[in-house]
Amino acid sequence: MDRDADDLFEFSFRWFWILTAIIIFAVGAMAADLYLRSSRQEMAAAAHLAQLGISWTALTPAGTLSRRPETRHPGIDLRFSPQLPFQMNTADLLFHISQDVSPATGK
Amino acid sequence: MKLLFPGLPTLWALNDLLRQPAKTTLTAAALMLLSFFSAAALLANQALDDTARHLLSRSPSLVIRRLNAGGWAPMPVGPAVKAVENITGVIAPTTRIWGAVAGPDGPLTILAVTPPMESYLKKYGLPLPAAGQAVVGRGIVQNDPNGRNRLTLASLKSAITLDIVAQLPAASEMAAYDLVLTTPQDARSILNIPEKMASDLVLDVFHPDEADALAPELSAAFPWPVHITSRKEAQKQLSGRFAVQGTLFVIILIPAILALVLLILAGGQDVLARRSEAGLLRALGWTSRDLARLQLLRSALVCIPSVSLGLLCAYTIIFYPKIQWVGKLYLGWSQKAPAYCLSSVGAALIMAEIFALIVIPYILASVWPVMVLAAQAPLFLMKGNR
Repeated sequence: MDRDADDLFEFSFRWFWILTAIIIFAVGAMAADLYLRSSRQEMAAAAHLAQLGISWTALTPAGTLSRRPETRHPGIDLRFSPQLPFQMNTADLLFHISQDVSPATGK
Repeated sequence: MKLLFPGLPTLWALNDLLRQPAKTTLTAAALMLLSFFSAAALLANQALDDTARHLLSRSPSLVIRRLNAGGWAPMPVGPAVKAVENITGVIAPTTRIWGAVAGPDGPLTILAVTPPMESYLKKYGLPLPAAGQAVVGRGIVQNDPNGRNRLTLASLKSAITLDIVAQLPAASEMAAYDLVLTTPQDARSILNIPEKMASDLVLDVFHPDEADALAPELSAAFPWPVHITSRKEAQKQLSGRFAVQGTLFVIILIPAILALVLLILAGGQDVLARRSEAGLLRALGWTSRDLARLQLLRSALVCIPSVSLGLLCAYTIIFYPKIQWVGKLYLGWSQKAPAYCLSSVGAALIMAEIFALIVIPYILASVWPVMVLAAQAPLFLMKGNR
């Protein structure tokens, strides 16, 4: 770049460095954090959980179903359809529906 | 080194952007907010899911609860342990006395101290609670006017007041934030569990993958009906909750994508509106390639710094240690939430996806108006004809 151009674009040149600094700072800060700090920040809490022998986390408030799924009474039906089984994953649901609408069975 | 010193086209593009500072600033702010909200929503969901899965991976393999016609029932300690201790693959069956009780500010979990917990308390220099005493999680601090730390717990049938003698370490917050450790007698009295009975039985298995396979055998070993929950089921249950929230977050992304499309269209319209300027540049000898390069540089100089800054803000608010807003906003804490230290596993991939999702279409779409203008004569453009 010649001298005249440098004079002409002095303000832009300054802004170029500001924008470059922003990118380097943002990407560098995230990369440094991911590299230097453990990704597993919850390791200490997991160790306490194991030593206390508890089977729940304190991520959600006490007294809620998501906190302690083992307290869900199997006699209380939370299914949206009584035709579906209690324990089911998504693949089961697809399989169940495909069986229900199968032309071979006629159901 | 050449990369660190901008060429004339880059400076020209910057100069061009700085001629319209308000429009450039607004576009940059919009792109920053777009990347911030998109990344924050996806990162929060991924971080919570991964953290919950990892925490629960250290929990007992199986939880067994006794069931009767009226609901959950306490199980006798001796027969329960005896029923499972000789089953091959079962390790350390332990009964627990625990339950949810009402505290002064909301529901709390009371758990009776077991012999393995005594060594845990000693390790952290905490006293073993005596009758009428409790060691509590970091979320429970009560100060009565007499200067004593007392905690009143209530259940449907009874209430108890305990002296708080110590608090669990700060690092235990995500596991035991609202936990009250007390003697088995105190726990039984508030939970109305008779002597020699327990709330449930937990055990580990020799091969974690065999936990599900052992469930039928364990179930048959008890002389009463039981319900067995495996660690995998607990993880799945919590992940299911986060998956539902994740779906809601994706709904947030739909207007974000529309906003990106609008930004791209506005940028294109801006170029087309300045057709006389493009005609002048072409008359001065600029080729279509030069004009396309100018547009690419203009877009990149606005988009890349603002999206980087938006991603940094999202990363900071999610992964900064000991954040509390996640609990309040996402997880339904009405009282003070625990300090979350979330897992950043997989965060780099999500941020790279968001970066690519916004930057690549924004920069590439800036070229199409130049293609439209390239097909027209410079004089025609200079006159501002369409």
